[in-house]
Formats: sequence, C-alpha cells, structure tokens
Amino acid sequence: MVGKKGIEMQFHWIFILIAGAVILAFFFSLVAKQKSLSEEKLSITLSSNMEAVFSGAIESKGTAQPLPIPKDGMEFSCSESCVCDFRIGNKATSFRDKIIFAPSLIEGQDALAWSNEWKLPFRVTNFLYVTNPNVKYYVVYVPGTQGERMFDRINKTLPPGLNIAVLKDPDVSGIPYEGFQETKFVFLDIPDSEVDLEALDSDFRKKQVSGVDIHQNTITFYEKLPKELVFTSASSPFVGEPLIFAAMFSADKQMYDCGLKEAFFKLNHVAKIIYGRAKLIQKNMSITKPECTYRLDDFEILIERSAMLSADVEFSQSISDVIGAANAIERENKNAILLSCPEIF
Amino acid sequence: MKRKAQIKMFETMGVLVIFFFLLVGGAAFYFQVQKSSLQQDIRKQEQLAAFQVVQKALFLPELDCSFVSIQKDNCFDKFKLMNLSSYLSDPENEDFLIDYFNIFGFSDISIYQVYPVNNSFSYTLYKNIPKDYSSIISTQSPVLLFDTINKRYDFGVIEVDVYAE
Repeated sequence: MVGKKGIEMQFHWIFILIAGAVILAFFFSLVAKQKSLSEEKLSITLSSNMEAVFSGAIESKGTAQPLPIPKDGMEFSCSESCVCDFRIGNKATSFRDKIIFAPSLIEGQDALAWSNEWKLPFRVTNFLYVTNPNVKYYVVYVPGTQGERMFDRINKTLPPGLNIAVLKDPDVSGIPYEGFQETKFVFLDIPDSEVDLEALDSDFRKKQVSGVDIHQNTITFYEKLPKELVFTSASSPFVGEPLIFAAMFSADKQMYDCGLKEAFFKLNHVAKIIYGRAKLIQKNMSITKPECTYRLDDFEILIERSAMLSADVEFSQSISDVIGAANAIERENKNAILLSCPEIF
Repeated sequence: MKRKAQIKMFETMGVLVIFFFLLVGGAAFYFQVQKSSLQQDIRKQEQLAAFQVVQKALFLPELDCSFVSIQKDNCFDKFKLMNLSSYLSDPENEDFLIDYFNIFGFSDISIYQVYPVNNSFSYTLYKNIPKDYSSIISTQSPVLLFDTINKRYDFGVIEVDVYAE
C-alpha cells in the first residue's frame, strides 16, 4: 500500500516538475522575445529621433550643438556605391538627402554636431559635421606658410569642444599615443613628400589613426592598414573651406567622395533653378531696365561640369572649370548690384 | 484510493487550465496595450517626418531669398519657385522628381499668395501621392514671397500634406 502511494507521489512530483518547466520555458521565451523586440523598437525610435535631430542641425548653420549618443554608440559609413547610413544597434538609417561627415564610430561621450554652408557662389547645400571629444585632431602646419593662414581661417570657424592640438613641424615621430579612440592628423599645405605618418610611435600600431593633407587644391587621405603602421594614400579634389572640414571629419576617403558627389548633384539642381530665374529676370527687365543684362554662359559650364562630377569625382579640368564659372557668376552678380539690377542669385 | 488519486489529478489539471486561461487572457491584454502604444509611436514618427518635410521645404537652397548673400528666413523667391515647380511638374524631367523624392517622399507641397490677393500665384511645388496610404498629415505655414522685379515681399502660405503608407 505504502509502495503504491510512494509511486503515486513520485508521479505527482514528476507532473509538477514538467508543468513547472513548461511554465518557466513559456515565461523565458516571452521575456527573451520581449527583450529583443524592445531593443529593436528602441533602435528604431533612436534612429528616427536622431534623423530628426540631424535634419534640424543641418539647417542651423554655424552653431554647434551637443548630441546625446546611445550607450552602444553610433556608426557612420558609406559603401563603394555611396549608400551612406548611420547605424544604432541593428538599425541602419540612410543619410537620404543629408550630407554628413563623421568618424566611423562615435561612442562614450556626447557627439558634437555643427553645420556649414557650401556656396558656389550661391548656397548649394549645408554640410553636417559630427564628431566627439574621443577623437584627437592634430593640425600640422609650418609657420609663415600658406598653411598657417589656412589654420587661422579654419580656427575661427571650428566650434569649441573639439580635441585639437597644433603642431608646427611636420615631423610626427615624437607624438605619444594619448589613449584616444581615434587620432587624426590634419596637414595644412605640407607637401606629400614631407608627410610621414609611418614614423609615428609604435603605440599607434594597433590604434585607429588617419591623416589628411590639404595641399594645392587636393586633399590626400592617409588610411592605416589594420594592426600595422603602414598607410595607404589617395587624393580627392576640394572646392571651398567647408570641404576642408569635410575631409577633417570624414571617417575615410569613401565618405568624403560620396558627400562630394552628392554636393555636386545638388549644385547641378540649384544651378539649373538659378539659371532659369536669371533668364526670367532678364526677360522681365528688358523693357523697363535694359541695362540689366547678364552674362549667363558660365551657368551652362557649371551645370554641365557639376553633372559630370556628381557621377564621378576625379582630378580633371572639371573642378577648375567649376571654380572658374562660380567666380565669373559671382563677379556678374556684383556688377548687377552695382547697376542696381536684381541679383542673379 | 484510485478514485481519490484521479480526483486529485483532475484538481491539479483544473488549476493548470485556469492558470493557463488567466495567462492567455493576461497576455492578450498586454499585447493589446503594446499594439496601441506601438500605433501611437508610429503616429508620432509620422508627425515627426511631416515636420521634417516642412522644415526641408523652408530651407531649400533652390528657393531661398537672399540679398547680398544674406538669406531671409521663411521666404521663397517667386521666380525660383516658378522654375522649380515647372521642373518638378514636367513629365520630361521625371529624373528631377525622382531626385526630390529623397527630400520630400510621399507628399504634396503647394504655395500660394494670400496678400496682396493674387489668385494667379498658386504653385504646386511637388506632388507624389502613393496609391495606398493610411493617413495624411497636413501643415500650413505662413511664408514671405519675394518679388525680385518689384523688390517687394508678399505674404503667402505653404501647404504640406504628408502621406503615411
């Protein structure tokens, strides 16, 4: 009798164990699913909020604003086909129409976002620069050269809160690694032959280090191979000061080139609209103010060359043609102001 | 004795059934609450997106009013507006419309003059309405319209309808 009761008790406990395990498994699966769902929801919410913040920041030119960064950080990247996005958790959000230059990873401290207008000679677009104090910038120039003047100019525009040190000698061999997440050297008007990042201290070998050299209308990007103190270099053109900042804050050459292509694409559109406007003004003023005639041939060059450059940013005559046309349009606009005629742009 | 054990077993089963019944009920209630909070979030995001479209339209370099390179906020140059509108509505310039999709998405943006009254100055800047949409978020904003020829600012309204799929 006792044996039978014992067996009954055993079955009872086995039943309770199985039922308990099922209940526990149910709750665990529910919690795991809920966790992944809320993480995904959080990254989606953060990404769209961040996109809204970027949209706002890009319009408020010249002002730097701190941006709280999610604890896992934020990644920025551009693919070879110029699909650019920022990533929070598993959620990647496209830059869409925004032109953003930022390090590949921002984490730890709040980011700093500021924007700058790109004019050629009319406002084409605003660039958004994002960085944070975890990136150390070394600006290198030789006193008394064009580099110093360049530094004086850009130093007036750079927002406070960045980690910037000035070096007045292109020799970087004595620079110690200071524990920053990323170190970037910005050479101003230093000939390529004098840039030697491979002479850096061996402590930099496994760290994230890069450099840019702004010299004679070109920007040379120096990118380090992983775990080696060996750098590859490649050049891109630049037009205007905002693109110096773009090179300085870009994660790599790819991000810079993609931003530049997008900028030329926008230039093409804006130039078409302003060209059309100038023709309309001319037509309307031909009777009332016949002296208000504009030379508009340069718009055609600007439109044609910007279309070419938006497809492929390369070293060619196109860049100098664009600069020449922009300067000519600016002169023509000044003439219009002097003659009390409506401005071209 | 066997009967007693069977009753006990049924009791336990009954408790389990009620437990699971309550559990399913609770879960259904929880998921319903979650669903409505998610819908609220989606609506909030849609409103945020609509606000961004308005903001982008107001700051478009293609339309800004500037004098000696100084821009005026919330102002559109009439000639630039006429030009961009004709580019975006011309079927031959479909590429142009596609390019602006990145900026305005599915929306309908129109601008018209309200003072001095001028019914002929009414332009649809951009129009791309999806076949199926769940809601429309409409925004109206006062703007200045710069008349380059007469060097005069008129008052206008920008109407933005953003379509959520």
